[in-house]
Amino acid sequence: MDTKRENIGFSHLIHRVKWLLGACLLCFFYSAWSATPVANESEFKMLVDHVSPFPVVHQKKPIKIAIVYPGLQVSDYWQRSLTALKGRFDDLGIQYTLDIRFTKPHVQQDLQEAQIIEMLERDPDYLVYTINSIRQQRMVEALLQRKKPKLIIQNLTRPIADWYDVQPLIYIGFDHADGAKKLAEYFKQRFPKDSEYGIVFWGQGVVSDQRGLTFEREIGDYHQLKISYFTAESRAKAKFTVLQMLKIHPELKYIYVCATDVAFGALDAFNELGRSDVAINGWGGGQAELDAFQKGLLDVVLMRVNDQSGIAMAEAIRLDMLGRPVPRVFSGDFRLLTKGMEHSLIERYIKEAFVYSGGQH
Amino acid sequence: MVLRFRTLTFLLFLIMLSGFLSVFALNAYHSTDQILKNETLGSLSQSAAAIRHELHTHLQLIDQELNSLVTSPELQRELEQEAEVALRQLIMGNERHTSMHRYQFIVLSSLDSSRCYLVKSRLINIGSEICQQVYKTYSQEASREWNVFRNAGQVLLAKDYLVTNAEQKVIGRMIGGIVLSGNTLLLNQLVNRAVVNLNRVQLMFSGVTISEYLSSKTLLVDESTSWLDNHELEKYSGNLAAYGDGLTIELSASALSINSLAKQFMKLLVTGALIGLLVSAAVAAFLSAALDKQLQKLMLYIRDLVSSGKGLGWQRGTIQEFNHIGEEIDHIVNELSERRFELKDSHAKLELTLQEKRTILHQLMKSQEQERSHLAQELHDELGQLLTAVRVETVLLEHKISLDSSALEHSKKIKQLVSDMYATVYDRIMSLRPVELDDLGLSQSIQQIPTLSSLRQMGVEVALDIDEVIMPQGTDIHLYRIVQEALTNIMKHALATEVSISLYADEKMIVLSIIDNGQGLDASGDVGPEHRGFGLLGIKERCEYIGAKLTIASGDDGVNLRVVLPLVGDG
Repeated sequence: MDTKRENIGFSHLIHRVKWLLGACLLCFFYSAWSATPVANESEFKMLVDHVSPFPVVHQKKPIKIAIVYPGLQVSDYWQRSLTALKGRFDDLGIQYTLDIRFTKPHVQQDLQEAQIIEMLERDPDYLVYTINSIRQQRMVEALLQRKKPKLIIQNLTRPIADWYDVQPLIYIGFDHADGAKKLAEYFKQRFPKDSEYGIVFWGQGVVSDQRGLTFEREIGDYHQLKISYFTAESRAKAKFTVLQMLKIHPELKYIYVCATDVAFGALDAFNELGRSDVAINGWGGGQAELDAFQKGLLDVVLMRVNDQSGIAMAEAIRLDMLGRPVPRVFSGDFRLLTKGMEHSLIERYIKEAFVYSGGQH
Repeated sequence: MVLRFRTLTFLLFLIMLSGFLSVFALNAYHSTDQILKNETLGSLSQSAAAIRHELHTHLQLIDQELNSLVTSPELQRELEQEAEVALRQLIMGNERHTSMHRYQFIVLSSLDSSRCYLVKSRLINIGSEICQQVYKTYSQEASREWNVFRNAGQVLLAKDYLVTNAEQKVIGRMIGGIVLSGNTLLLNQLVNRAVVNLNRVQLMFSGVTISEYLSSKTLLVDESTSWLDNHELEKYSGNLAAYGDGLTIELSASALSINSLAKQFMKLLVTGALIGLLVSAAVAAFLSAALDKQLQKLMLYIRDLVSSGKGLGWQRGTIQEFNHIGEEIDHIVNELSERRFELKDSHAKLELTLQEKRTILHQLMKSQEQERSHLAQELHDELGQLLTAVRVETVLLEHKISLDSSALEHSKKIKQLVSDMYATVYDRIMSLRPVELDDLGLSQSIQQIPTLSSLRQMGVEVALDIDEVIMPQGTDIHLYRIVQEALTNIMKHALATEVSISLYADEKMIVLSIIDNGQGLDASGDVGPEHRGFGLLGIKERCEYIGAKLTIASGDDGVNLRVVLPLVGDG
């Protein structure tokens, strides 16, 4: 018996040593891999997709991150992005303080400027902002002249060429044009040739251009664009716009909308008119859109793998803190949720998209 | 090692041309620094011009925006109504064409300066933000279209416009512009739009750097391969006087571009050198082939001349010198040909003369021998008989004289004299014509040669190995004379201690050898005929006369004289 016990003890010891050696080798190889600079977006994408605490960031004090979000809209994209950022920071063990301000997207740019100035007085390490207008671009240009804070541009994945070498730390977002192409492909399959459609853009700016004009170009001559409008500011204005469109062109088969608020404005209009024959899309795949989709109100939802945005932000900051190169752009993935798709697949996509912020809805 | 002329000339030409090429390449290599410096400065100068042009274009676009703003009825209306908030919204607003795009600040002032509005982003630092102060500072510096001025530490570049109302009445002045201090973005845009590769660009005002651009590409240069590792980067300073005094731009060349330039230069140099080398080789090959061709032609011509004895005349080629050589050869050949004919003629004449002389000599020799023989016969027949008669008469006389008579003594003396005379005459007969020759033959005659006795008396050891030889008629006397002459020479000149004479014959030839161990013949030829005697000459003539081959070998160990008389011809 004693001998057996001893044998068991020895084999356990060997097993533990093997496990430790394996773990050490794993750590060594990972460290060796992670010691190499993240030279391109695909390597960075691996960091985003897989939580890894290595390499460890040693901090003397929490990093200060200032965020100015045009998040006061129906879409919860910005909120979820924040949740993902926090979640990944926590996973990585990075200490941080967030100074967050929300404004309406386009109409409160004076306020955004004031908020930025106010936050700059607190000497943040990083500033997260977005660009959707010339005014915002000028503000970022002014900020780029400063050595601090480092800028993270969210919701834009096409670097501004005119800035040449003076660029922010990283552009993070979802490629609007890529999403628009996916939706255009869907509508081309969904409706026959020469079907009539309309477009409702969001406020004038880069986002509307990339989402709306790309869609229009992709559809081309296959469908007939009967009417299009710009709208901004609110769901109510969007409803009014869609009512106008359907009044002029009641034969529209579908209306392509460039934002969540517009989609809900359109649904309000359909509801008022009692029409359910006009197809409508969601853009972004926020909780409100997902709810509407699951109720059958939206034909299709272009869902961002939402949390990738916040995660990429956290990983970019980590790399920068470690003094390693950060890719210029991170563009998140999209999933197209359509009517008739298997429920389990939809659930899986949703779970994947909201890996950190999933608990919110 | 034997080299062909063609190979040699090729190598020589190649070495020479390569030498020139190397000198050129080395010179170019050593001038690289200066060339690079000049090229870099030239490039920087062009870059500065390109940046100036981009700045000018940028300011033109701003000018268009400001013109659009200043002519907008809204601006005129709001300024008249002193609606500051509306003005700010008009300028800073997002939706209007008058919105702030490229310009960064606007100063709007009424004509009497009672009202002044400064409109800009709060994120832009233009220095003092007191509107009147900015207006005043600008006005003090305004002397051009665009004016650079310092506003409380910040350097600005601005242009002013008059603001009119609907009735075209001037109601105020607008100043719009950009900040130059710390405007790295603008500098970066200008550099990149100008498509220039620079390491560093500094915008300077009154000698102080107000904005700086550093190329990110500089970091990409591998220091270990940098061409000018130990060299400072070239700098170029250009003024921007069009916008105000003291505004300058300083450019530093990118190490990357200098390296690239240097590499291009070296590539060009190496390629040039290689091409030069190839061309040199081709030229060397061509030249050596041309020379070789001419040389071969010349050699062939000379060979033809040698083989045929006369030339057809040199065919002129492309190389003048070879033509000269060919013509000279023609000339020499013609001269030689003429001389040869002359010489041939002379030779024939001389040969004829010699033949005649030889014939005479042979006739003389024959005559001499006949005369000697005749004389010897006469002496023998007549004088000998007379002397014999005298002796007989003397003997008869003695019988008649008493024994005590003194006359007996005299008769004895007469007998002695007669004997001496007979001996003398006999000697003379022998020297003229050895009688043994006819009676006993050559073998015995040689042994009777008086010189042999003289040599023996001188202590010379004489060895004779003489066979009985039957020889053609008339040749014995000549061989006898040859032996006689040779022995006389030995006695007179050789200082020999041993002499051997051999005579033998076989079916084909008769061989006579006379060998001594004396001092040999004088090889220098300094000895005149009076010393040399006519002995050897006579021997040669006699050999020639009888058709024998004479060989004389002389050395320190004596002389070997060998006469070979062929018998075949005699049948």
